[in-house]
Amino acid sequence: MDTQGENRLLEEIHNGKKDAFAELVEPFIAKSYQTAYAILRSTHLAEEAVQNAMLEAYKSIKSGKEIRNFSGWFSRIVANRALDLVRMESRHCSGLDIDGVVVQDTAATPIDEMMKKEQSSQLLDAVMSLEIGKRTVIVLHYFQDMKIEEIAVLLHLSEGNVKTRLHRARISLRKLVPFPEVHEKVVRL
Amino acid sequence: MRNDDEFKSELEKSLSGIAAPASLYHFAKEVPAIYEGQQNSPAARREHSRKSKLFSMAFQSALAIVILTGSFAVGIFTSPAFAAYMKGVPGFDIAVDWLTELRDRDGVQIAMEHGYTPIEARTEQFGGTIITISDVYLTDDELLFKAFIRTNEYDVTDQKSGVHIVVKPKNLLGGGSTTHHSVTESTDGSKAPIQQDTYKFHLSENVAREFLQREKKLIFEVTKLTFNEEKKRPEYQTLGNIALPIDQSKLLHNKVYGLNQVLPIAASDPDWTQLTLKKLTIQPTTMNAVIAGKQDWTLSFPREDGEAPYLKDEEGNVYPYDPSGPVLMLEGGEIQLSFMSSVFFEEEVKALQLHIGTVFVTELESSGSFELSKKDVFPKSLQFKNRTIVIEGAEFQEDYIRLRVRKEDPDQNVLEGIRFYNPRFELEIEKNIELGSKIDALREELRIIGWERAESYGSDPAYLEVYIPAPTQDSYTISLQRVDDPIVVNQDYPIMLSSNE
Repeated sequence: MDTQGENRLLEEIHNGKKDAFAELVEPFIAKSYQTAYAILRSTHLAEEAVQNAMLEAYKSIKSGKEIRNFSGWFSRIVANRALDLVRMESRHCSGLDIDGVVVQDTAATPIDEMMKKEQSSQLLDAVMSLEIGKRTVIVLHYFQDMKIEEIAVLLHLSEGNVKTRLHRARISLRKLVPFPEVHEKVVRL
Repeated sequence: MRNDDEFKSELEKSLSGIAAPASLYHFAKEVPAIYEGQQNSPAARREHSRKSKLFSMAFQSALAIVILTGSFAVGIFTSPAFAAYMKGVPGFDIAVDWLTELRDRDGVQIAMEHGYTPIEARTEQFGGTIITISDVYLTDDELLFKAFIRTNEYDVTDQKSGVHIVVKPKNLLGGGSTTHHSVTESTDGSKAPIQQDTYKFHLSENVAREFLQREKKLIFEVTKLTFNEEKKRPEYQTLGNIALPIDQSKLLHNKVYGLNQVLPIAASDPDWTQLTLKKLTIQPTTMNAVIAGKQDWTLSFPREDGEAPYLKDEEGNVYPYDPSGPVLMLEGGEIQLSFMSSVFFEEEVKALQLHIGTVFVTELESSGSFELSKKDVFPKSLQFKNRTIVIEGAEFQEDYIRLRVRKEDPDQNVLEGIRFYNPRFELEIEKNIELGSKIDALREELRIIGWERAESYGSDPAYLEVYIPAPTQDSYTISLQRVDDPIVVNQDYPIMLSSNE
């Protein structure tokens, strides 16, 4: 959808056209869900995160918030809501530091896990096995195309810290899947 | 994948294989109605607009469902042969162990073991797609069912197919979603993949009763959702209906215990000495407890083991909190918690134990404040509830104040449960869209994740920092509000079932 189309839908939503919201967000639902899932490792929490993001987006649009790049803005909301759930899932690890948090998918069964494993690639398995801090920066950077400074804001880390975390994530991945050249390469930032 | 670009491409390819559930596309369509429901409900109107957490369910606007029907049992068909037959799903050859595990989770297994299968499964074929609706349980409060799908029109294991089958009741009004999704192989030698979705729909008061007076069949509408890559949006195709005959005489009614039982909180808390267990509803497959807090507060419960609530019977069997479905928020800050499986058929069970680990409380208005001035001398100590907050310094900037708050311990990352805000400026932000946008932009500029909560931002490890939107002036009144403040209860409460039914 081009910017003009987005702006038209934003205007229509603001003016009360109810169908316009679904039309606006539908193209982003799949990627939002995939991002949330990759962060949370839980289908149910991922769904919850995207639902929350949609409610928040609608509320913001209705309130008249000026949105210039809906796609990027919505991606940040999704990531934020997923991180909210990470923090909620482990109250012991409070604040913004999500390292070390283990999100339990209370609704997943061993069958789910088995199916997930069968359906996922070796790389996906490897990424999903990373600890949450590393996994999150990998997904936000490489899948959501977020810039280092955007991730730094989201995770409340310094840009240097994000770069370090990305680098370490790549090193961890090297141990799990064969990346013959990648591990030698400094992450391009 | 040999370099950054290939890595990115491979990751995109892998993640793109994870299909978003169809329920999210439906949810997108329902968002305006949910939002309006929130706006119109009395509880929502009282809820502060800047409350930190959005409730994540589609039914927040649903008001209290209080069906105080008495409990009466009708004859239950207990033929072991029939029960054995119902272990399978008509139209499908599925591993019994797999199915049993599914049914153990949602309580269907326990109902079936007692021969309670009030609504018979039905299979229909739509082109190359065979669908069976099974495990259908209609109670005064809920509709629970499973859909099993086998198709040669798309690959149910291919999450990139962009095709989903959605089943929803057509002549029974309720709000709901899938609570579980999985895929298995058939055991008939073909090893054909079979998709399974469990659905749960909440029904408002009297809806089930009126439905049963009006209808002889429960009709499900089957919709095929295909994601159109070109248009980047899903297209909907109604495949048809599946109608299941309903014999009202076979339906069991919930056992409803209007308890109003006080649950004292032993932990010292300045606002909370008790919760109230308003009602326990024992359904054939699940149990629901309505917990009340107090006026102008809201409650929420964690789902992590060790902190989540659960029910336990006299034999020591635990019925865990099941947050997989939407949480039902009721009027007046009450919350309905759903617990997996049920003691419905256990006649000898006279009591249960409700365990509450942690409860999060949020007050709808601030309950404390302090004066802050540019002339203040720091450190400055504040007393809020039973906590002492030490302000170590303040910066007064255009449109915001930054306070440095002394950590309660060196490892503290956040001052949990306390919101700092300037109510007058808050009102201005709400009224003035431009000002709101400016404050949002300022937050991004400051690189803070949110306003009004004291967190460790790393610039000085000795302190937490809180950023508060505020106008430029010499002195301020800063309000303090408890938001998602955890109370560690960790208590077991006996619930007597016999005398209250």
